[in-house]
Amino acid sequence: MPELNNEFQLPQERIQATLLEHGTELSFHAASESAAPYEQIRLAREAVALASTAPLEQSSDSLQPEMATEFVLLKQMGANIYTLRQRELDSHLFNEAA
Amino acid sequence: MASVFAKALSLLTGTDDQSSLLKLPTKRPFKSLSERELIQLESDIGSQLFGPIPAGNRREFFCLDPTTWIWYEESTDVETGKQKATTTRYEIHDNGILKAQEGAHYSYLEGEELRNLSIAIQMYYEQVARQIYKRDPRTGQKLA
Repeated sequence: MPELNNEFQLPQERIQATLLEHGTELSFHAASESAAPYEQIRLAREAVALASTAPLEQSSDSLQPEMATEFVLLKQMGANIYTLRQRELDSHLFNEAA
Repeated sequence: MASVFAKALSLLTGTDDQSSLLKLPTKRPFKSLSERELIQLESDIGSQLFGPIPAGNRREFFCLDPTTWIWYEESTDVETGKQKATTTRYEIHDNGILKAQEGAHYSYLEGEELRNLSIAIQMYYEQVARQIYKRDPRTGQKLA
């Protein structure tokens, strides 16, 4: 998904401009962390589907180890929504500056 | 924690003129929308995921940041007439979902509440990606 990855990797100065403009304390989801986010979701979904028939390995760190993959999926969905929103805000700044 | 609640509340109860939401330009729908207004659009979808909202109540449900989800419910006590508002923050961690309410203890979600929130987040993602940002939630590609 080359188009997606390119769009999600925003220049740092534009990210900072967005954060300053909107006064948010939130940290932007770094491009390196959001690489191929939809591929991760697809893989996580497949893993969740598999988990219904083949329980995941138990982990002492997980409160609900059978749902560990689903938590990863939910985090990725939140990250994607946040990225889409920030990118929308960033595009306003970009268009207004042009 | 207080700053997160403060941000959530400011997003929920901001005083910006919301009439602009009703005048979305057709060529570029979100040209002038602020972060709060985008979140409000998302929350309009999120608030409907849990069934009908009782008359006189107000409900918001939205993604605040990559790992934080906010539930806000406002209702009026029928006996006293007083308004009651509850803000709940859900934090997605690798080992569970932490629930936090102002003045209350933290607790990890379990059982039906955990399942319901998980389903709601997935529905929110599907609908918000498609309806607000015009993206295929599975591929990230722009919708035609």
